[in-house]
Amino acid sequence: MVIEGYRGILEYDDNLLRIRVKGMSLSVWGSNLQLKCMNDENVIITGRLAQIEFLTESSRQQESKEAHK
Amino acid sequence: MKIIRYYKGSVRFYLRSGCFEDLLNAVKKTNLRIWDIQKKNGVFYGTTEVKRYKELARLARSVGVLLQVKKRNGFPFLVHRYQKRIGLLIGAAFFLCFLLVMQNFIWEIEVSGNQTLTTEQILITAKEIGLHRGTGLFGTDLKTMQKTLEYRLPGVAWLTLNRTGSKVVIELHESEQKPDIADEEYPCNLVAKKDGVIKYMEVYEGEKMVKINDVVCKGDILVSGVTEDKFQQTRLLHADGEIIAETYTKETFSQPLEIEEKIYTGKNESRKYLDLFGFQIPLFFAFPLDGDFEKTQISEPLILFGKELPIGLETLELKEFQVLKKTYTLAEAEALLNQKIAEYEECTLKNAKIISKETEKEESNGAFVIKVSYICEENIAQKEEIMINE
Repeated sequence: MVIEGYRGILEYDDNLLRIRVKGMSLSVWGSNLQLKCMNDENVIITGRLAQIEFLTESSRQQESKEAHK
Repeated sequence: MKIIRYYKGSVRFYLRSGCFEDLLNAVKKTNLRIWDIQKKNGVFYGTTEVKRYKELARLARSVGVLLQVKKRNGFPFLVHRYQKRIGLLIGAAFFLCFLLVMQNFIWEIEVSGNQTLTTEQILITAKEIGLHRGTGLFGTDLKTMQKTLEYRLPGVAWLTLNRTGSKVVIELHESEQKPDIADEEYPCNLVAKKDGVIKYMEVYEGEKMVKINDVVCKGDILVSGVTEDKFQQTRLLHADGEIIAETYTKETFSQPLEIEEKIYTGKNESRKYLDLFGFQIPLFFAFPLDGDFEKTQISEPLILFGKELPIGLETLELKEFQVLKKTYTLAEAEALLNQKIAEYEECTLKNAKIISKETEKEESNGAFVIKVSYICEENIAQKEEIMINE
């Protein structure tokens, strides 16, 4: 999987990868996840991908509020 | 991509302490490249270019991450490893030069398409015109050689020299011999090929010109191919038949009583040469040899994976001989001559019936001579074409 124009890596593990993209964050679940190649613009993810989740900034804030409560 | 990375060299590192994500985000802000990032057994790994590893390590320290080199890979490390082994480098350089020089010579000649001509015959002719193992490719005009070889080899319809690297293939096609087509249509006479007395005649076509018991000379017309019908119209025929005549043949066989004969003394010598790219290096101390020797050369090229290499062993077998005078007794000479006479009868007179045979023996000018007179019965008819002027 190629992700263009990413903003940063929020979390990296061999079964979860969270990437910040413009206005949202992208969560990739799977196993043996690897960052095959990365530069300042693009990132290539390889491995067994199981689930991809998009989270907008507002839902993220909501989630964090709920977590605080 | 892998080749470029190998050529540039790469460093595989792992994270000793710190937050890996911080390092990844820091890298994003620079133009550093890292690849093959993975987490294995709880340890983060990554790879980067060898030249920029120090830069990456500094960047990592600035974000509180400590890196450790796991493996160095690529051509720069290979060079570094063998840098101190000068001999190895010189050897590799020599090998390269050797390959570069040697590819300018012909090391293998293959012949294909020959049927009646032997490969050895073709290779010998090729050698005569300067095409052999070890011929330099500079200044060698294969086109001219091709034409010369085609001209020199008998019965070749076409020939081509194909070069692939250091190998030359002589590809040829031999011309087909025109078969003799029996033309039974052309007008001809039957003439006598020998003097004789006609004993029996069997004419299939044509007009008889002789009778039984007629004496004929060589060249006489026996059966004519020119006939006239009752309207005096001339017809030309293809005369055919069998004319058996009694012929007289005299042959002389002679055997010199003193001859020179080659006798091997039993003294043999073997000389070995190392054939190195067409150059023959002697593997012996060359003492001059007295006497006459018959030479035989045996080549044993080195064969590797079924390919003949331009290196091998040449053996020169020398067999000493002496030319001695041998004297035959009259009985021995007669036995030899009788053998010759038997061969003559078997070959030359195979289609003739020998009626009588008279022999006359004599010794003259140091030779034993047997004169044999044969009276035979044989077919003396020979076809002779009637030439027509149109």
